[in-house]
Amino acid sequence: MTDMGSPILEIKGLRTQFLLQEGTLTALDGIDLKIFENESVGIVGETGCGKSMTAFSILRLVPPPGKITAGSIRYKGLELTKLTEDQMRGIRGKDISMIFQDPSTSLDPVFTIGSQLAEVISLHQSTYEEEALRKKVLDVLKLVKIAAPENVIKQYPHELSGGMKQRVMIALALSCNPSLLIADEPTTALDVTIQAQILNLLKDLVRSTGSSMMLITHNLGVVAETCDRICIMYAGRIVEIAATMDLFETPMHPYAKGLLKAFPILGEHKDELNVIRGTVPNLMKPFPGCPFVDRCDASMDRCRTTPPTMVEARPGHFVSCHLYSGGGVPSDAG
Amino acid sequence: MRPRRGLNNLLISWKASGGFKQTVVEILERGRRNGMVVVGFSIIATMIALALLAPILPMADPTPAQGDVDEPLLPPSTRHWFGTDNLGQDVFSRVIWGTRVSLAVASMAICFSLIIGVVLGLTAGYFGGAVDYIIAGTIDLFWTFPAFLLALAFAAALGASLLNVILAISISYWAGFGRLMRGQALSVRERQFIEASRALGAKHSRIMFTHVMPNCLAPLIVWASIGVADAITIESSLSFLGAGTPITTPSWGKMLSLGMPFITEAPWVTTFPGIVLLITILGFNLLGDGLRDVLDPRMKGMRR
Repeated sequence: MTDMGSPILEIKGLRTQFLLQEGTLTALDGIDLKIFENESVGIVGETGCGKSMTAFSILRLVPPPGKITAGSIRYKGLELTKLTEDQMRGIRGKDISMIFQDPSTSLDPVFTIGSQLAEVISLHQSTYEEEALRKKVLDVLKLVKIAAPENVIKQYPHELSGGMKQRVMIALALSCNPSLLIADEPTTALDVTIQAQILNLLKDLVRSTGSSMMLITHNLGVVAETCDRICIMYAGRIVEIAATMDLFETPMHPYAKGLLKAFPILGEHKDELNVIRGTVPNLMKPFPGCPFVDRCDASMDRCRTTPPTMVEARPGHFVSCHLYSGGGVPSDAG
Repeated sequence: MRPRRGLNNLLISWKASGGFKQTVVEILERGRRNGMVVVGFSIIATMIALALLAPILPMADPTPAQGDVDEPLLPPSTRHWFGTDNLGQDVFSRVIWGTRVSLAVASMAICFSLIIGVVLGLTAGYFGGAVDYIIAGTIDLFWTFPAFLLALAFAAALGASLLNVILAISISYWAGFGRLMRGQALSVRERQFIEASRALGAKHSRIMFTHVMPNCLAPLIVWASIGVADAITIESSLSFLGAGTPITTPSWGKMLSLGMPFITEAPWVTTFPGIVLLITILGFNLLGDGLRDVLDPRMKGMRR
């Protein structure tokens, strides 16, 4: 399912750091990730684990004083970290596009929906002819299944509902047929019924346009419905990557197991929900071993001293944990 | 590889959305329904008409030659509607001619200040960091001097002429716009649609002028309408001190200051220019306040 020739995006050893006065904060440390054509990859993790930072690093929009300090990001063989700012601008929106969390603030309040869409399309497709532009705007609004697009193009963002605005955002992001769509928690600010609609829409669009999607979320339910593969992040690292069903059935990393356990099951009665004890380590301090060691029930001595490496524990199922990197025996403890 | 666009592109994208004509029509329509805009616009239009028509209106010569002057300090009569001043010149005709100077100075000075202030404030607020440090420092430097003193210094150095007065007022007045713009830009640049447009591939200049600036303008329009009043006052004061327009050019400020010594025996010399000044300033303030409401898309459909 996942092995589909060459990857469209290939991240290797990506490290993004913030050089602050108090010291260096390592937001991402050695990210390796491949996204294949027509594939949806979910990035899951708790707040501050570097999900959004991965997205910003790909688009080279890490806010200062943050910086990509090591690693490579290849998009269709093109090394993004070495492009000039001008070349990078040509990539953003056209080849790689992004949808943000809160649709109510992602649109410029003083312009109509139509003019914002037309701006992006004329910018990237050099369409300057009024009628052609108008047709393209209407087409892309129809694509995201907005009712009465002729009216919507004349409306301002405050006249639309949250779900409509997110559809417009998706239209903006998809208006130039990007090969990769990054969706940063696209449904977090929406209510539950609209969430499902937006997710289905995204799923359909990715299928029909043949682009790939990187879906960032902290909601396992969202990725389960939408993604082919799941990538679990913790403290700026990827700890486990596997096909969605594979990961839900047999999670390997103790953190992934904890996450799945913490997910309440509908209909099950519980007085207390499961939690993962402890808190995220301080990213300002370099840790010699595994970042999860203090919260892990299966930790061993060498977890404190040597960082684990990514191993293919089962075909297509990668995990970064000493339990699987030879020597250690997988236990049920975690 | 990619052609130059900018404002042109904005216009096209606006037109293509079908929103261009509609937006213009809507703004006009909302303006027509907004009482403040109607009154303010009427006042200013009248003033502009008077200023333009001054040469052809059947009035006494505002600056008659020595032999032609009437008796000084005549009260208002059918011959001299607003009376005569201490030099025997017709006050009514000087008030009408003074409209030219006051309106020209006020509108030009505010336009220049707005342009300088908006560009510098926007650059400072949007980029932040060292750029902001330098520009905000410069703004503060200008801000620490009272605008009038600074204008006086420049006017004195440049010499008395209409253009120099405009320049002097602009130089001393832009800092206020700069500060306001910078503050606005600082807050707008943090909003998500700015980040979104970067993620969609827009460059800094485009984001600054087509997304940050339009979102910052509301308070600037109001400030500018108050600034017009300020500029007229500064011009008056400069003229009063002899650093303004040449002494022969009639201006409201000069009439006020020259009439001051006779305010008890001949109040008409100062009262009439004062009233016209007041009405003009009121007109600008009403228009500015109303425009802010009319230009805000969120006020669409609201009645007031």
